[in-house]
Amino acid sequence: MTKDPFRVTVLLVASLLCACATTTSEPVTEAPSAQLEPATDEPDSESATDESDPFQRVNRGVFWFNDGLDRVLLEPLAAGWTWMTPEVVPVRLGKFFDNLRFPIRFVNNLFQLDLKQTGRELGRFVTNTTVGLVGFFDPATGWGLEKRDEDFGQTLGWWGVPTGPYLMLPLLGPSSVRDGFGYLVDTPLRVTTWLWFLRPPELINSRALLLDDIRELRRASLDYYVSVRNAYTQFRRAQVANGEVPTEETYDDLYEVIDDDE
Amino acid sequence: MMSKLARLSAFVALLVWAPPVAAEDARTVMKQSIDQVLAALREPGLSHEERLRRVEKVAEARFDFKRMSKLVLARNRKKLSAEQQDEFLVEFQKHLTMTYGRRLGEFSNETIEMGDARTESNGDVTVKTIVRGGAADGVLIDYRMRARDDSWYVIDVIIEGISLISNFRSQVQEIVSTKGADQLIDVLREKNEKEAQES
Repeated sequence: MTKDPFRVTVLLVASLLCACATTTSEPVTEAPSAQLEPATDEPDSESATDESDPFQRVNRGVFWFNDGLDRVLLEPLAAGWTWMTPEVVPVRLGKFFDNLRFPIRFVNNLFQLDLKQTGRELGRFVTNTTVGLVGFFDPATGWGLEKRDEDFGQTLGWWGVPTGPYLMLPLLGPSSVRDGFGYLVDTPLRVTTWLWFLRPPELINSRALLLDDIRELRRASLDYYVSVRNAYTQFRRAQVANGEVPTEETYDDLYEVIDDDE
Repeated sequence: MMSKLARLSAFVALLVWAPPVAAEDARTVMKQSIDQVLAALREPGLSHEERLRRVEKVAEARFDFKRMSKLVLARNRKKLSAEQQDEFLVEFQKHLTMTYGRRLGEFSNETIEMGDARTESNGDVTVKTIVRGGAADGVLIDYRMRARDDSWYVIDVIIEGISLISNFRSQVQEIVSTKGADQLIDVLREKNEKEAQES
């Protein structure tokens, strides 16, 4: 089926209760001074990136909190779960929970007037719930019914609503004004809203699938907060574009070497 | 009989008319590099270090680290001296190599499916690939390539829509604007030293 690791790296770093983290204290403690001092010189703070983050100070605080909680609670639980099960168990369980997210994808494909994909989602759900044994297996993808993750935040983006400022939500992770609102709208469609007892296992299992990715992200980042913010922003932009070259106008500038001296 | 001059001009004309290296060529050289990496990962009896060294060699030949480090620095490059820029390049290349070397350890039975190649408006070519099998099944990895001299070189890796260059650039931007350009290389070097110890 699909894309779990990376998708979720961001999606869950993103939207589930995964906490995300700075390489501990260092960037976080740096945050206040970053806010007080004016950017060194030239108004170039937005020249190199296009992530709007006016609430950075608060966001960094929340990020620090989420990360701490992740390190003391969620990550150890997920590591324990991984340790006591063979690898297929978290993977299959992840597919089961993913199948339960069908209503959100179905409705939001409809909202984006994509009847073909709406039909595919319905076909996927019927197939995988029956032949795929309540979603633990995903025969549908093999039969040409590919999944495409959708949610109300993406629907808003599809209709042209800008993301608005970046937000780091307590317990929920990276978001934006648009996507945070989308999360609320999707709430009644979220199966775990009603079957709330499924929420903790879903969370631990999703986090278990991301153990390596998040550990690696923490290690490789120069500034973990900024790395997550950038990854989230890019990932959501790509998701809204549904795989159609989203990037042209933003990327051409990205690939221009300024004052090249060769 | 054709005069020498005519023959020469015909030859020159041929050279000029020969279509510029096309998207297909970028895809071909990328496929070769990927095959070499997969071969290094699969060859039995290699130690982790040997495997890593072989992968590094492929990467060094196919990645244009110099251009990548310029793209990452972007406007901030002007704030660094020539020596600092060189230092940044060295540390940046080391950082990328270490990070991806570590990740390769997790690869086992994945294969890479080659997708289409797309020519971008500035002449770059984006070569698309999809991971098949393993934990990263279905993940989309695009390689943005630029022609230099007589071949194509990777200038960005885009995983699930997330550009590595963009991600690094925003981190560099943050460090330069909060700590200053002089601190940038120290931060990167410190990070590399710490990682080298851990692995």
